[in-house]
Amino acid sequence: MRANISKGSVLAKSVLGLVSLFMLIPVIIVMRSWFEPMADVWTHLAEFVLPQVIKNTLLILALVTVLAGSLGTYLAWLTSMYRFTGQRFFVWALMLPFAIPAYVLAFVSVGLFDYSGFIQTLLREWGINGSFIQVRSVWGAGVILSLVFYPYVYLLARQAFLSQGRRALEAGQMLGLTRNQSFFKVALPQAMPWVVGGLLLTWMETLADFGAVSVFNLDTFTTAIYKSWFGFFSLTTAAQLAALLIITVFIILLLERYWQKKRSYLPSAGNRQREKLTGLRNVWAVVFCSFVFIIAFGLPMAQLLTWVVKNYHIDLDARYWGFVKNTVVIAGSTAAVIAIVALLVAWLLRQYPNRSNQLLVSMANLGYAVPGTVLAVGVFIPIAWLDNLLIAQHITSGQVLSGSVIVMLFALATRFMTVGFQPIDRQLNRLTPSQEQAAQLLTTNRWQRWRQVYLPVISPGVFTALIMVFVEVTKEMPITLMTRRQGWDTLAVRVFEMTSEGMYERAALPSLTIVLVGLIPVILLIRQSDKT
Amino acid sequence: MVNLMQSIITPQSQSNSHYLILDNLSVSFGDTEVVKSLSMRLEQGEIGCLLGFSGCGKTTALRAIAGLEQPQSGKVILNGKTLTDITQGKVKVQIMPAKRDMGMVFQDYALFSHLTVSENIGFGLHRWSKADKVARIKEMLELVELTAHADKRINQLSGGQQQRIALARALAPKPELLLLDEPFSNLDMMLRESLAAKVRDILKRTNTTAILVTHDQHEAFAIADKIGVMHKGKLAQWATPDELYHEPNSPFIAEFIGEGAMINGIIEQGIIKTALGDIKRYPEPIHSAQQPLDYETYFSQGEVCEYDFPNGTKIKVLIRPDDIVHDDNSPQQAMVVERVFRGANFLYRLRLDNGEDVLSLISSHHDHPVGSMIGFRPLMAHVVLFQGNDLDVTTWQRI
Repeated sequence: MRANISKGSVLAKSVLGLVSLFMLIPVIIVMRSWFEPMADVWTHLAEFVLPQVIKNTLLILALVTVLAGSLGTYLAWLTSMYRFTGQRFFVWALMLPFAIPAYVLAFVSVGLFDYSGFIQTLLREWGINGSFIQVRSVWGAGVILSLVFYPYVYLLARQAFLSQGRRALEAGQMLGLTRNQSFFKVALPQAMPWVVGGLLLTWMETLADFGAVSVFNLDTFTTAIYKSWFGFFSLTTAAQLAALLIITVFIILLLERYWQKKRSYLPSAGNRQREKLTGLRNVWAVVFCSFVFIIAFGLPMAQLLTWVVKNYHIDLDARYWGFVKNTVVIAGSTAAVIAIVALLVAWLLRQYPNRSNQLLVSMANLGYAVPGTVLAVGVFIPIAWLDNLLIAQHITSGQVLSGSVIVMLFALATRFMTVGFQPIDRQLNRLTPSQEQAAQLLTTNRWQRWRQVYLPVISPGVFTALIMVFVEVTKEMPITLMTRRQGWDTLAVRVFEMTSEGMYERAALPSLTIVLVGLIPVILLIRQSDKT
Repeated sequence: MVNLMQSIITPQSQSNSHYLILDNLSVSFGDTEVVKSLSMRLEQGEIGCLLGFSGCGKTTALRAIAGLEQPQSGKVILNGKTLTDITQGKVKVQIMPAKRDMGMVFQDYALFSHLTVSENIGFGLHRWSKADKVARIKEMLELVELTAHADKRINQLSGGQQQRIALARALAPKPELLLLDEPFSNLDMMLRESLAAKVRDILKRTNTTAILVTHDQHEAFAIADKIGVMHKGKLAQWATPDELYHEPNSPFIAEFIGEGAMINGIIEQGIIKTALGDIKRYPEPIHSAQQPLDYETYFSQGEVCEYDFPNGTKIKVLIRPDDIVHDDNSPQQAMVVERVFRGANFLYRLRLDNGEDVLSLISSHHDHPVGSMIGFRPLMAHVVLFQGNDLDVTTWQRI
């Protein structure tokens, strides 16, 4: 029954408050670090590192906005409004780059453009000296990150164009505009909330990226944070840098909420015939889509496979399976923890759906916007403090907590809470209040209700949540890298270590494994969008 | 004896100076022919309507007129200008929609959510001077009575208001032809009726030529001057509402429009013998506006002429509910087998002596229960006859 029982609602609010507080601790701790005195290393940072970091970050963001934005929008327009050869293939194939983490695409492209790599060799055969192509640059990072993140824009823009695109064009034409004019003056502006939504997600991911920029040896906020902690051993400085990053992220988050409101309800897509492209236009569409597919997915996968085939007799050993085991354990436990907390939170929110509870729940879900490096710092500090407290109280003798998996689980859970919450919440909303009331009338005790009615209805959502969190943790690198226990290297960590030493070929097998795992949610996504 | 009158159908004027001409317009999607050889004429200031069930091709025809679909063959000529001329697959002329000088009100309005009401209305006025544009927007807002909402966003308006904005936006550039695609289908019943009247009023006041597409006959009757009933891609009849109701040219039209019954008749010496009585044919009476015709007098005094069919021909006669008049004193009686309360009247289903049924619309003050006998008198000013046995249905009514 909906809550009029104040005892229950107070309990619910406390639980929700506790959960969101936990989720926010890392951010609070990081922001608090500005009250600490600045370490000496700051002078070094401010003079040598910070200007470059800011410049790089801004430049990369600008590049990604333009490239991913236009690429995603244009591809969405092509595939939703027209029929051309292979269009049905491209609709889902263009989503596949989602499965490849940025750091994988980064090192693969470095390998491809290496002196002895595939592309440079090819160019030399054609008599071209390709050494001018510097992948390890801000421009290279911009291109690579755009290729990884354009699917965000692509997916969202497609939603808008599928339902409104044709209408917008026709309405514009009936008011005297040509097709081109209609696109720029009507279709695109109307799709703006979706395009911007995709771009904001892209920004969040770009700011959070640590692996790709590391491969490229670029200084951004994430690498500066990492170096301050592990290089200069100044956790406080790392936290202070992280705080700067959080402010930027916070602004993006506000923008995201604002634009989310503008994404009003879309009418269902009509089954109208798409315009068929013929002749040169057809050729152009096929060539363009193929080109994007190849450079964003086809070629990297081919290179990975080539390297794996070449090296698997070295790499496919007990150590590799050790990495797999670690990944599975960490990803699995995170998934389990998140699923339980998300279920609790979603259920409580459903029973007591007032505004303050909703606010608490959205705060608990903010972790996805916070870069992994920031979360690692923000989780480590309080746990280290707790450790010291326990030692001071003579309860323990060593650093029990900081060296444990608790740090990692905490950080991972904070970052991916929303990944588990969304599917469970969505699924719960399918359980109508009347179904719940019918269940209450027809069964006698709680366990029976849960077993026979609620769980069967909710379980697809829980299942999806477990899978999605599992995949995200498998792909995740910075948090795992910075907070893992000794000897608990995951596949992602292995990739980082190999690429840090320039041993790209050895990084191929773990990367391929990660990509294969990463394909699972993409396949789910494709099947879901096929149904609509 | 049944009192009747033969009516004369005025022939279509054959001149070529019609405002809108459609000639053998055919549209196919893949292998399916959706619009088959549609031909019709519309004069300036007239409101035409394409009426039919879903899937009959009416929306496709409208979109072909707009230039949003390319027909396989046919001609579209508006105000002397050829917009489409395609014969046997060869495109001689196909002007793009933006240059056709037409406006369209879409079924889902297609208003621009990123612009205000005023900006929406002024959207098609990009070639106008600023001053003219502002004045015209103000004029349109007043026309649709939404001046107070000029700066609002579209999602702040109700469905009926949005529909009026869509109309204003389409009318603002003074189009030569206005197209409306089921403009009321997203609104509830009561709103539909009041808006339909308002829209007709606006169109007439601005002397706009328009074509409306709908599946709702009441809407069609309320708005249009000429209605074309479409069935499976073909235009079954193009006529005024009155002609469609009283002079349907096929059993399909007779069934589609309004309600009624078909009864059997046999020709005998130029008279139709039916269960209602003998149907005689009278020449068209002449009456002036000053002296409205008194049918009773005319039928009792007028000369009879003959129906031109050989003896023994089987005929089906269309009997509308308004053709059966209630008369307690009449010797003709029928049994009430069913009745539906309609508020102002009952729709009675009456069984004649020979077992045939007819429908009758009688004021609800006359409350005759099912099973009772009711006196009636047929009064048919129009007689609609169909030959042949191609009718399965004998009575039908609208729910």
